[in-house]
Amino acid sequence: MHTTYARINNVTAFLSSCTMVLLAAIALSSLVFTANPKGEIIVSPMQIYAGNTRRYMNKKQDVAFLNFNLTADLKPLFNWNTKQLFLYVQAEYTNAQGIQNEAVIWDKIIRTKEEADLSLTGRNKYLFRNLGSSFKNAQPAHFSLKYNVMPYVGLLTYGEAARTGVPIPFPEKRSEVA
Amino acid sequence: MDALQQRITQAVEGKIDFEGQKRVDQIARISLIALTAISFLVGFVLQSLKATFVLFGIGTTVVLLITVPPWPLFNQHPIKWLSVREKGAK
Repeated sequence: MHTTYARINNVTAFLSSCTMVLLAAIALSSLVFTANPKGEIIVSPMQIYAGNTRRYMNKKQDVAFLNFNLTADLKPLFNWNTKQLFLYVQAEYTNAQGIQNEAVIWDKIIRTKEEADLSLTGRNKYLFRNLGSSFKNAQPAHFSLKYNVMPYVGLLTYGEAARTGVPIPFPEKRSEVA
Repeated sequence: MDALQQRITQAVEGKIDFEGQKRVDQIARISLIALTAISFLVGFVLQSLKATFVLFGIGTTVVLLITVPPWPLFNQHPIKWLSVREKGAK
């Protein structure tokens, strides 16, 4: 500490330790906020059409279309350490081969607390297809609204805000778009 | 010319005495710990990370301004050397 240079060195070295402690404290403070808001998701009956797949020129693949209503007040998820929310709607179904599938069909990024009071209608943003070519004999699907809280400092946390009460059955394939 | 050079070197080097060093160490340690705790609490109460980091930044600048330059306050206890012994004195 005898010269200017030594003092700069010493003080900033301790400052970096303090910054680390501060950041760790902020990250840990997120654990105090245990908001678990619940909303509602209502999914209309699906429609299935045969569509062209990009991968195989001559093969048709079933594509499901659906509309849904979302109401959820996710404001409680915004605390001082929340940067933004990533919301997504996930379809969960067991296909004819008995394999459990999860597919994201819609998503949204919420950047401010004001935007977080949701009440919207949407439809699947991403093509909803089975990995095989068809949804035939698949079990009825559940849909859930999930969120991913992105903090400024700390760990990402996941949660579920809504889930369909009654599973939605996959209808018969329609041959032509009405 | 030599005198000027010496003064510049001294100003850049910024030496302080032993008591001053002890004091700087204490000031830096206590104020930085306090600053960390206070900026966390203020941010938590106001629910604003901005408040935390603005406060932390301002506080850091103040601490650096207090501790880094060789303020006269840190030079009030110069070392008293023993007087030079006369050559041949017994």
